[in-house]
Amino acid sequence: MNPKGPSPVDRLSADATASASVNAESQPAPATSRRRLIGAAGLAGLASAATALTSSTVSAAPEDQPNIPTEADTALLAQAMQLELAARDLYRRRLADDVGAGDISEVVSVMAENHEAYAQAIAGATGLSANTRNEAVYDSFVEAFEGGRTQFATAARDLEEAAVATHTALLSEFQSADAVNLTASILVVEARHATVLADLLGVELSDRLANAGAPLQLGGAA
Amino acid sequence: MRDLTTPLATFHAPSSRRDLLKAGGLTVTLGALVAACGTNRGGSDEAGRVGNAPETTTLPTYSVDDAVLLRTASSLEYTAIDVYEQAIGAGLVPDEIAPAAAIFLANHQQIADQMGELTADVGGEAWTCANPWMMDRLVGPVLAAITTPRVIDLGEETFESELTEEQQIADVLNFAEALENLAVAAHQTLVGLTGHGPARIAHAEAASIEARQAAELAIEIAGADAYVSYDLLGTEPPEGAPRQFAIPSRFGQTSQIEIKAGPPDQNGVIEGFTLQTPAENSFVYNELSCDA
Repeated sequence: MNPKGPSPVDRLSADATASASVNAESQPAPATSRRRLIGAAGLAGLASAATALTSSTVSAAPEDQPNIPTEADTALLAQAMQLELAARDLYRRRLADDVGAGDISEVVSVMAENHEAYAQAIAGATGLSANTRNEAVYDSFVEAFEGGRTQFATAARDLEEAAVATHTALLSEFQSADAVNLTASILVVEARHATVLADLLGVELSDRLANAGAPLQLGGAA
Repeated sequence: MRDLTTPLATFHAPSSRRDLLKAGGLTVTLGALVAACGTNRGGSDEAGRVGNAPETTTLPTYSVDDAVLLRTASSLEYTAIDVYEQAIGAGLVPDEIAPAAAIFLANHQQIADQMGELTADVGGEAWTCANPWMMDRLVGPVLAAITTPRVIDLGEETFESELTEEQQIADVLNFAEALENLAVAAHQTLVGLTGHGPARIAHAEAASIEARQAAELAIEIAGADAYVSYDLLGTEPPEGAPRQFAIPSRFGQTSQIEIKAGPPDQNGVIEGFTLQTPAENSFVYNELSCDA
């Protein structure tokens, strides 16, 4: 098996999570914090993804793959699940009475339910409990999700794009068929979420059809 | 009076050694006779084959490797390109959707090129034309149904129906949307089938780009009403609801896609067509070539 680059999900990053949490708390402006997170994560994630893309093979041919997630897959899926729970909670925050989603509440509600379903599906595949969100991601996006419609849609699109890129990068790491197939079925709908949000924002046509996100460096305890 | 006890007594009498030898000899003789009559029967003794069945011709076995999967992916891209080009050429893509269609075409070509490069990387020959199976059994019949009048011989009279230009455009766009969704489903499936790392990522990226295109086309056709399917909203679709949606389901679906296209018959029934992700019958095997 050829060596792979570092994972877009840092499996040894309990310290990094604590650091991310501390950083999130110490940032005075959450909007800046979100951009920093995406920027920093994007650079690191892009480097990881680029390295991963240059590795020439997946660990096993499909017929040799395990069906159910391996221990390594479970660790990665746990991070993905926490990302999905953070996304769910962000959309729910938008739907809260004191914020309100206005005329797009149905769309926002469906997106919240979809992310909830993804977390539950990952939990079902791994045997984990879908009860812990990624706090760093939530904290970095929440203020924008509570903002005006444009601010919300911009942040939500950034989040969806980052989720698509993160799931895509994870595909090169997975060993089991279940992890691969489930992740593929999630990322294609998140790409559709991003397109709807881009339409709400009136993003230029050519820009809304490209894979624009960078994978997040998630980290955190599984 | 006849003595009925004698035969019964004989029947119940124990068999003698001589009787046993007689019966055994008769059995062996009859067995030999039957066996002799049964020679040269031929035929297969495999399960499900009975009697004097002729020998079967074994079909050649073509392997499905990463090159076949990538060639198949390329063929789907070229199929989509072919459909868009035919639709544009026939004037069935309205001006307001033309800019999006142009980007879709360019993206399909870019993905086809990428799949071609990956095919070469895994030792195969890049596929550079549409999927022949799909063109013959799907694209041709659907486009014919949309663009030609439906004529049905009812005996004493003939029923004819034809789509208006507006209806033809609607059906073509619906077919394009279905093809985009099929491309998404195909790449999503191929993500799990390939054993080649870069191909897996390329299929995932292609799936997400084409998911965006499917979403965009649904919005281009029907606007914000087409953001989310009524299934996900949990409500009944109103009359005149969009036929396709940007977010049609909670997870990416790989099941078959059914569409209706063309004019109705005398009972108002519109012909149905089924789009399926590539399988053994529509794979582009290494033994096939675009020239054949």
